[in-house]
Amino acid sequence: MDKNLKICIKIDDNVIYEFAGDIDKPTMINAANEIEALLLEKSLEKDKVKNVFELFIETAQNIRNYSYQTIETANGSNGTFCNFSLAYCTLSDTYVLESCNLIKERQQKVIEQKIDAIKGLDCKALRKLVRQKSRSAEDRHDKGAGLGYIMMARKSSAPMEVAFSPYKKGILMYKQKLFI
Amino acid sequence: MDQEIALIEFEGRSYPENAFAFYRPITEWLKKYFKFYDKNSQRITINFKFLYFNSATTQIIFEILDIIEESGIEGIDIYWFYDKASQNGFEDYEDYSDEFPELNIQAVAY
Repeated sequence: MDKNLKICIKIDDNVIYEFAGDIDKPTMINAANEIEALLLEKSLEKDKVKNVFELFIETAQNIRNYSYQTIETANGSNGTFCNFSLAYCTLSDTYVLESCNLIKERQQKVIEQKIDAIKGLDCKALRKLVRQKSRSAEDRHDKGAGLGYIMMARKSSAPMEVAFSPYKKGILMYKQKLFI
Repeated sequence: MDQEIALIEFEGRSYPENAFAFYRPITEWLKKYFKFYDKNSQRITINFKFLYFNSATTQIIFEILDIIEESGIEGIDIYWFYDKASQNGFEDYEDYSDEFPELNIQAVAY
């Protein structure tokens, strides 16, 4: 991926965490723990820290699941290239988790369908949907139940923003912004 | 799992990427354990002490509770531990207890 794909978030000039590189399982866990430690240092309310931690994991796992290619990282495990950053907006007391990665073109429809299905649902409806999906075999695969986007919406304080743009033939750049 | 005291405990953080594959040995074991459970033996305690779990684990917990429910064993006590400083933890408890009222899952704040 070109260097110009790197996202730079400047909200109140307060970017807390940035990552650009190959993300594999150990890297993901390490980054999640670092983010959690950073937020706990600031003595934030537990639910908020937990939500940021959780949504980072869901985002990273989605990046890995939807990625257009998997490569072997220096750790010897499977990884994929991505950028993500976490910023804090003091005015709204909101964390912004932004990510960018490459996906196969056909994944756009899959992602859009998942997001459309939860658009406009309030927290109560999202909880109900989790329960419905959890008890059905729909969307079930070995990696999960297809609940990631529902969880993202449930733990977010504002609707997520996503964007797809062409990168090269058959490959799209996928950007996602979560507000926590 | 401590078979001697009939204690089954899930504890810590659960975010496996391949959740169903990861938990399959556990769910298969549970099915066998309940199948051969002697109704005259001691009550079983099942503790859920998750600090965090990902969306895929959410469905696994439903699957585990389904297995418990389908076993038809009455001598099972289920406890859901949650951080009292966290609203999310209690919401998770509500979701599971509402969905499985017959299991009488008890909330334990810590």
